[in-house]
Amino acid sequence: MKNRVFRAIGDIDASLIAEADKGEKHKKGIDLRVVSALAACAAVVVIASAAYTALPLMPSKDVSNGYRAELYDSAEGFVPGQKTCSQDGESGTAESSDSAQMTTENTGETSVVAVEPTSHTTETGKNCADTSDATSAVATLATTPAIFFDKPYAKVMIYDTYIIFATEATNEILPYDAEKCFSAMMQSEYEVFYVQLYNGDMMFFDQLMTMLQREYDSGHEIMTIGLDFSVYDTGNTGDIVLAYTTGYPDDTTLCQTVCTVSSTAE
Amino acid sequence: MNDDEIIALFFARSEKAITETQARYGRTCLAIAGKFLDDGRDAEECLNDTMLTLWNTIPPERPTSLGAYAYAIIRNKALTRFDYNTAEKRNNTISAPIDELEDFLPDESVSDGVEDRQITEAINSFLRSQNEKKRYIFIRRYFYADSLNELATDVGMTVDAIRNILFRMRKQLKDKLCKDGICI
Repeated sequence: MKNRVFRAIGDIDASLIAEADKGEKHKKGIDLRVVSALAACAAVVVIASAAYTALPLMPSKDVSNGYRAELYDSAEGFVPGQKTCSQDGESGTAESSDSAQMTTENTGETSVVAVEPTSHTTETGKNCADTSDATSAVATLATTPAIFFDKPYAKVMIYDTYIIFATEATNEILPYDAEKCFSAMMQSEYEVFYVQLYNGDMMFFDQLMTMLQREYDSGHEIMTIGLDFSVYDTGNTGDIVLAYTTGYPDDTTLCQTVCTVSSTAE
Repeated sequence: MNDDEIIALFFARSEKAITETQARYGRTCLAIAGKFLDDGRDAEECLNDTMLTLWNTIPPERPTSLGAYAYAIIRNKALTRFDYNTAEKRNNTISAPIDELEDFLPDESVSDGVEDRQITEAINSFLRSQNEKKRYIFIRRYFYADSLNELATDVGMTVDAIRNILFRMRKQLKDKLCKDGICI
């Protein structure tokens, strides 16, 4: 016998097997299609109304830093990743103090993750900060994120040219206000990264923001559409998928992966 | 013809029961066997064996879901054939779903004296504690042996998301089995 657990799954209750039977599922197709059609109509209405009502509230790319700061100041409970960078123009090395060292401890059902700043030297070939005014201005913008929407079930962070929209993965249907906000985001000129966080993991939103900011500022392409977020290299230079999973066998290893990927990818 | 009518044919010892079962569930049965067996002839053979088993067990059995009953039988038969083929190194069938569980819950981790029935009961309980979507993903992966790509398309999620859900569920299942004294 190859594996007792796998074999045992073959003897689970017939009702469970039948529930997952595609054939059985297909029989409900007509009902589902009706529901889908209604949902699609509702979505159109929501998007249209959201675009009309919420879009004017969106800050555009040329919004002043003051307005962004005002948004940021009004946000509650967010501690942005502090990014300090020093430049070595000749060697192209940069030292970043915002790398996160993650440790986990399992407390029954939930994993508690602590992020502690550690010193970490990278050789990204990119400079995180520059003496020139222009680069400094970009760096400043990138390090002053603003929370645009902050609810237990969904959070939105606006950066210089992109938006992180994070929701609880359990929310099959977003609450109306979050849906409205998301629709508005999609209509904007910002690049929107939609992240679904696993049950209860919204508490890790801040850590995610720090990681995303670091990767984005390093010039990596970020693709964060997925359930959890952990980090792995897609194999294409410069492409990094940020994903984060509290259940990895060894979260210290995961952190090391974060550091390794961000320090070796171009 | 619905399940009740087909089962009535079995009870009446009418061979039409086999024909009707094949017509209704044969294709899915073959698909399940095909997940474990490269050779279509092996899958066909499993299907024939499954029909014979149905004939021999109904009556006295009266399954609530004939499909689920047939799927469970052919899955077990296909696994037995899979074990035989792999032991003889005759088969290179992708065994990713099995390996995923093997890595997490190797047979050595199962406590001595634990019966398969206990494991199954614990899995039943674990699955019932999950929401419908997760349950669907888990069963499609580990009962029907669907690939990650198939599942991703099926439920409209990314492969990474599916992989993460399964990873978490395997971990939760292991915790559950350990809590129940099944694994060490």
